[in-house]
Amino acid sequence: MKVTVERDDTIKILAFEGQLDVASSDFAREETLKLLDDKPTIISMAKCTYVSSSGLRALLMIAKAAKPKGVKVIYAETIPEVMDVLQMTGFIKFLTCAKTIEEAEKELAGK
Amino acid sequence: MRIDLHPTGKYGDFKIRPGLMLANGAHMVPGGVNFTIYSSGAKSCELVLFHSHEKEPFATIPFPEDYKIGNVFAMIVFDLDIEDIEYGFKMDGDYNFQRGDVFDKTKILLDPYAKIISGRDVWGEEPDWENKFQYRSRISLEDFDWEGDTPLKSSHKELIIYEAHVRGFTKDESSGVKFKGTYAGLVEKIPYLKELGINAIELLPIFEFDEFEGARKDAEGKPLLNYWGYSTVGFFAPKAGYAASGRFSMQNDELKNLVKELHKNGIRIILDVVFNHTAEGNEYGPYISFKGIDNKTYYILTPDGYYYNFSGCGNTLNCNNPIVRNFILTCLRYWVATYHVDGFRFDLAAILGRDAFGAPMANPPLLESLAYDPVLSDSILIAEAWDAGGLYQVGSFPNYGRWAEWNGKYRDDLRKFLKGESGKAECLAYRISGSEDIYNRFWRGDCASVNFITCHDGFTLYDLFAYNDKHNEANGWNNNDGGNDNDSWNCGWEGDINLPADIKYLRHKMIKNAAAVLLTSWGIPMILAGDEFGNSQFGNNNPYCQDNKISWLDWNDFEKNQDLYKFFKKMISFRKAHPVLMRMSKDIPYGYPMFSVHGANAWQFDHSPENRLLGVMFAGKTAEGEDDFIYLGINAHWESHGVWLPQLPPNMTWQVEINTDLGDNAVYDSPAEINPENQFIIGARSVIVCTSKKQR
Repeated sequence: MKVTVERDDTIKILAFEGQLDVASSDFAREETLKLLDDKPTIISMAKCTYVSSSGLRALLMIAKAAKPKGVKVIYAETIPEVMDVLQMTGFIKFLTCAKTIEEAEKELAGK
Repeated sequence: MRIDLHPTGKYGDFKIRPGLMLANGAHMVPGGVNFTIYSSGAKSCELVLFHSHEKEPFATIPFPEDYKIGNVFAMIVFDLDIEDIEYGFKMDGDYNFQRGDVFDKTKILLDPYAKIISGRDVWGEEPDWENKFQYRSRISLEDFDWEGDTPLKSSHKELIIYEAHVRGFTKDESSGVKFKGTYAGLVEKIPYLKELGINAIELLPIFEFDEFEGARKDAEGKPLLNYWGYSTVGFFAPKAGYAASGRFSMQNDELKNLVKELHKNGIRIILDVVFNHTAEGNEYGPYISFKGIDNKTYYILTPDGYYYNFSGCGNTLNCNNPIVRNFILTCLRYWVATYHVDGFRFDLAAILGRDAFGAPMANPPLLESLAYDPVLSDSILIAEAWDAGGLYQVGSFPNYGRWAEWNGKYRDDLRKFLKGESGKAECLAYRISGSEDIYNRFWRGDCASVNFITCHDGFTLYDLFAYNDKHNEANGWNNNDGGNDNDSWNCGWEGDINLPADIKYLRHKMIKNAAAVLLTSWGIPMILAGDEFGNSQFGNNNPYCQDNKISWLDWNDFEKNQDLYKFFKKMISFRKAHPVLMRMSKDIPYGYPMFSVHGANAWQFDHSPENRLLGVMFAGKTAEGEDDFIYLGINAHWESHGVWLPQLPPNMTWQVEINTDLGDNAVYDSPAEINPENQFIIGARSVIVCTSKKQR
């Protein structure tokens, strides 16, 4: 699992790449929380190919940790297989998701 | 960091230490996983570890001698990948069949406390039968964000139960949901349930079972599976095949989300649980878990070591043995505390009152423990108060003022009366009164009787009035399976082929008659899923093996039979609007009994056997404290009859709200006032429901 910064200006765009499972979810969560500041953040899930139970919890914990800081986090470009898992388990209700980076940007801009 | 959670030993490359003796099963601890298992007779035990779905284990770790206290083996193994491993146990001990010891150290055994079980991850996906470890224990992440949810706490008196099969409810294409036949699919249907108005859903077994147990093919080569699932493999694990996410072992999250969403919408969840037997069968059955761990503790055995079969399924769980009793209690507490389940319906519950020799007990410790358990104190406990060994305890189930029962007498008497049998009017009056003749209100309270006219076991409500005989040929037993005492009536035409319009009309009326009585009776009403829109099983009264359109709800009927749906919806809202129907009225209008029985003339019930006319009046108060009278008039005769309704207080008149003789207009848009100078004519085979109205 790689966590990279794709853009960092008025908003921050991070990208997850690889499988978010028990071996990587702690790393992904901690790395993301280190990168979060006060800017609205989009996390691209386009290259996140699998999310396990631990991975679901990492996504949730990132969203929960950002909330009290007033930082909006949007997960974007989630592949259909992972989106299905979010829907089946109900975790989608805890997360803000957008189909594309553009949609996420619009959401952050309040459009 | 605790000082007793670091490795103290090694086995090969594995770091280990003595485990938690008071735990059961597998639990995550910092840095490792604790494994605890009990066996009264095992001389040694090994932990067998597999990578996910691998056929061969990657490790077998014996529990060292000093990792055992009493009969409990406990070991912590460090640095395991909890999402990857599947585990089991091997037990070595005596083999002496007559004494009940059948240890076999070659068998890999499922942890009876496993919280997730893999092996049947996707419903109907043919397993690898060569695999020597079929049902695999996995480690569960127990955390879940409940966001303040708890089991619901409203009075049991308000319950309106809806009995459904997780898969059958949405599996058919016509359900229109994305995740068909799963917990997630059920979530998608919650708006429908809320709109209908029910406030509790009772799910047929969802503990892990094997749909391939006893699987066969029918004459056309189509598979016949263990569709209902009354044969438990693992008591702590939700059925993976009912989860859209089962292939990812996320069934626990998916089910918890279902519970949370149901609760958000005011709907309780009740589980149909099967503790009377297990999927291990008799001496010819497989070793899954208990048999190889502690056979003589968990099963009731004959003096020569054979399995008593009070369940009709090969074995009988030794429920009142202290170990087994604690197992069951721990299990139910787990489902309430961890899954926020609101109650349980116990399959063949009479077995839960048998002792170690199979004899019925006057004061069974298990049933007493469940009745008084603090974690279960808000949970509804419902007994199917009979078993396959001939013990029939409807009305006499050891209850401690706490247990409710599926009231089979209600079903039988209502069916007989509605189809026009003689001599049943007085019986029905008792049934509508909460069956006070068998459930003494003083001892049993107001919720002892779960009233139903249909359940999963038998005809659907539509079929009850569409078939005189069962049509179970598709089950492959030459139509010899399933009950013959259905008390059904086809309204003059068997089945649906070339169905005359007048017969269809009559069937719909009969269904509405049944719904009107069910939803005005005292006790807890239970509706079979799909009955509210005329779902049919095509005359099959025992589709336990039919994983197809025979069992799956056909949601096209919802569109076709809107009159039935609207009628059920009206009757449910009517019940909720009248506290007296739930025995929740705080007061009674002066001078009136809360429940009274009437005939063609008010206050004069006709006791003759040929009487097929029954009037019932309920008297109480509305939630706002206003006088509230309800008259239920049931005419099961094939001719119409005039009735005089009981006189109301001077400032009140009767108005009719429901009249099943009016076809699609059975529910009045606005209630019609009844002229007290005239008799009210109740049509042939019709039911009326009238309410009191204050005069201006």
